[in-house]
Amino acid sequence: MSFLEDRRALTREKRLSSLSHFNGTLEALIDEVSGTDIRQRIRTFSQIHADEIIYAFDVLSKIEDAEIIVNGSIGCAGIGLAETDENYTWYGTNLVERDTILGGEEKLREAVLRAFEEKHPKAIFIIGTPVVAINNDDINSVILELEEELHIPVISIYTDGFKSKNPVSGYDIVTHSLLKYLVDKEAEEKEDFINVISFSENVEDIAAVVKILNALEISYRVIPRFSEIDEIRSISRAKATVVLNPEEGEYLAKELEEVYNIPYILSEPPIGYRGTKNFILKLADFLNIGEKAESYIEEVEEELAKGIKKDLLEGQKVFVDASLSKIPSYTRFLKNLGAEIVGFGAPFVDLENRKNLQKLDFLPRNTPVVIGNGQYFEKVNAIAKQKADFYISQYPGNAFAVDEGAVVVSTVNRVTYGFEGVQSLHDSFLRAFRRKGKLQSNSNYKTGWKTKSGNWYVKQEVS
Amino acid sequence: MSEVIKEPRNGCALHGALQTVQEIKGVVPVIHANAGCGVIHYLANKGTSGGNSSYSGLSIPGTAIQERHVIFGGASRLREQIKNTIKVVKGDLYVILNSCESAMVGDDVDAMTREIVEQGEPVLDTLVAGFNGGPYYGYEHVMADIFRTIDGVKPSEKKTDPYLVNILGIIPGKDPYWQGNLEEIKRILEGIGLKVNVFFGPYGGVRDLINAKNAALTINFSRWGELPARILEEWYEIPILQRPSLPLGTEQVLDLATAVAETIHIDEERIKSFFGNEEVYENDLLLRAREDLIEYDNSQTAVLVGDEEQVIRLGRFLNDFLGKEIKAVILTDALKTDEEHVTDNQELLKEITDSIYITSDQKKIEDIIRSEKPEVIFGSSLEKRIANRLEIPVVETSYPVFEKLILNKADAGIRGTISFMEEYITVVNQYEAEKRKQLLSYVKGEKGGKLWQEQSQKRSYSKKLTLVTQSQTKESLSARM
Repeated sequence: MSFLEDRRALTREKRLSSLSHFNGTLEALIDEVSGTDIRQRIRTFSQIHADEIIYAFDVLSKIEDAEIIVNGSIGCAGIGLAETDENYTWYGTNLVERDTILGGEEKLREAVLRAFEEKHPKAIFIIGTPVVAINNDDINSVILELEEELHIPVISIYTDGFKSKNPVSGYDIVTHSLLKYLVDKEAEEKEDFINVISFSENVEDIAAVVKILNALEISYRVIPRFSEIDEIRSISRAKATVVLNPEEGEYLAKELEEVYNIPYILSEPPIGYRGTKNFILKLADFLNIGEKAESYIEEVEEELAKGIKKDLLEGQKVFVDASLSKIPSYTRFLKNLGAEIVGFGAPFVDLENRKNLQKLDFLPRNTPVVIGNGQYFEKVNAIAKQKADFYISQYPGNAFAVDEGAVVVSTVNRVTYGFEGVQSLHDSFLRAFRRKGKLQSNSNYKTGWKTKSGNWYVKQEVS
Repeated sequence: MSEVIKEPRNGCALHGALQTVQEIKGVVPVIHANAGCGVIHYLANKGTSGGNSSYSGLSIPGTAIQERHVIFGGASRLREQIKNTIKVVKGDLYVILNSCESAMVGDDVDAMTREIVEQGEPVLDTLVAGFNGGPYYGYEHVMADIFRTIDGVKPSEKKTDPYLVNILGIIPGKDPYWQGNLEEIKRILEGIGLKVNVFFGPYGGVRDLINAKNAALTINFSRWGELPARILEEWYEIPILQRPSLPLGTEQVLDLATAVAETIHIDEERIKSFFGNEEVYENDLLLRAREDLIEYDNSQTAVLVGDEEQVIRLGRFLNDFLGKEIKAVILTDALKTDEEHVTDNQELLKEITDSIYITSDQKKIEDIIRSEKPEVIFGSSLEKRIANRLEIPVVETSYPVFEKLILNKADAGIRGTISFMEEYITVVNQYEAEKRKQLLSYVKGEKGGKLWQEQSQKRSYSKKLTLVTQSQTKESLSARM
């Protein structure tokens, strides 16, 4: 059912029973999430982690001709410094104690007017923060008034930083607002392009996908990351949608299918040989260009095989930390290079992305699994217990694993998608071997913790 | 009255407190806030210059409070978090940092801390909320709270060391060169026979915090250390030497040493011999750069953007050493009205320039720079945009500095004079080289263009000539016939 009637998107917890706390085996996890809803858990010790404000800001900041206002205390607007591109601008309403008592609507108004006058954007996004949510500021009346005055969409992003443990909720909130307030609703005629939905991919990964699409002469629009407002408006005219990371973009794809009859081409992230092949073939199948795609794959694979050492990770124990959608592709690829997968971590599992667990039939049932957004202390526990040789992660700040004796392979600034990603991942491991036993310092964690069950600080929620 | 800010560069009080404690070895920050507050600080600084300390980013313990804690209070969540932090994470001191949410909700953080301290655990808290102010406020208050309570959680006998000094006023991270600058100040003060509590970086640690009460003097190098310095003065009778900025250049350093000698006895011979050597070192190296300075005409007009301390330090040096005209200074930290501090640097600033602005709004900063038309900017990476538009170089001296790693390089003291000049001359040289490249391609383009035009004109002219000649010949021939 379409959600567009709702004022804001539901959190992942409410919509899909998203679970952000689990520490056990693959088998126990599959069992735990097999019902119609998933029982929540609580950590009695936790580490800070990204929230939906950060994720929403990240994706919106990549839209070229829009401006962002962070409506909150000055520190929240500090997130703008995460984007170091010279041409990028943003505003902060700089709410102080007085505003938390009397309300910050006047400053929001001033910020919107400034952004409009100084930058002439095609749309203005207002990102909500804890102070505004607690204070219950009347953002909508400011928006109504200013939209009339400025004649551009002024869009509230209803983030608050404390209603969801799952930062991907931030992508859902952005999706909801884009569909509700930007996307062209009168789109009868379809145009000759497909939507390629990207929320979190780095530019390296997008470039790899774009090269594939160009090679197959598929016309596309990457949405919403790295897009423009007019491109976002046009997504209702696409002839199909494909999502690079389904657990992030499926919400948008399904809504486009339901409301605008745009077919959603189900696929998996283009990681590893099989992931990439599946991705291309699913697209090709829909577009009836199977032959062309197969000859492309054959050609690239043949070239690629020359540079891959098939037993690169023979005898090596690897712990994988990535979003659950990517775990099957990563683990399969690494296993094919000879690795023993001694555990994996993922930020959340919900009623949609749990299907990925079924794809892991090539892993032992007792493989350790840590579900947690960040929560590196639990990963420390698993790495130490499993004596992992390698820790591969898509998340930032992972030097901690070096102190537990693992060699870290980070994909933060690397391409992982497409056949290019296959080579890059392979080469990253090749280089990582040279760091074995290097850069290590003292662990920040007590030995007592590392010998305990990783489940020690997780308890079931009492409702 | 606070204002909307375009591209705010400073972060909040929580961020200031966090970046302060995470740079003290042995201290574990525990953030009592929603999950993302500390992560915003981490991501904002990830692209900047200082590297990461051991308890930073996603490794920082935090309560990650949820809606129910906002509604029903988060004190019990904090209690279990502190208890378990001690079990999981190694640390000599655990510092709880408060936030906007817990302040708005009114959690009794103090009571939770007292409870755990009674069990003999080294925990203390600071009641800074993000909306209370900027990172400078956070630095001052967390340091003040630490000095107020450290003796309660880490008791030790007070034993004043007549040569020990505390260094305050330099906020880790807010000065991109903080690590090198603290190291350099330590080197200099030790060079004249003192011992130093730097608190932060490789030479600092919890030991310094405990030891602070034993110092004979606190040297505060900016307005932002006033509060913690005052606490040490009131509680432990440690006198304060208030300086407007870190020294830069032998002359300034000597001035500092003289001021210190008013409180602490320093052997005059030792000062003489130390500065004798330092002067030779500084002169020898700086004189090597003279030709560059002259040939690149390094006495351009400048605008300085940064914290008050940096602006005074660099402004005075640029004036004294290079005879620069500072067209304006833009203070990104100072408050327009500041009742909390006694430091008043107006006179000093006026010696540098008459145009003194206080703002951290990027639009206003760019407008000021545009109207002042300087030939060079000393500022942050955020000033690159306006510098590119005005086609002038920017020397990155204030926060944030992107795409650079600065670990032990200083721009204060005596060694800092050299590295500051290195950086400055390098930036100007690169800028001049780029300009020359552009000029060269312009010259080539021009030359090529004219040649092409001339040649094509010549060709068509000769063609015309031929035609005319041919027709004339024909005509003359026909006339003859």
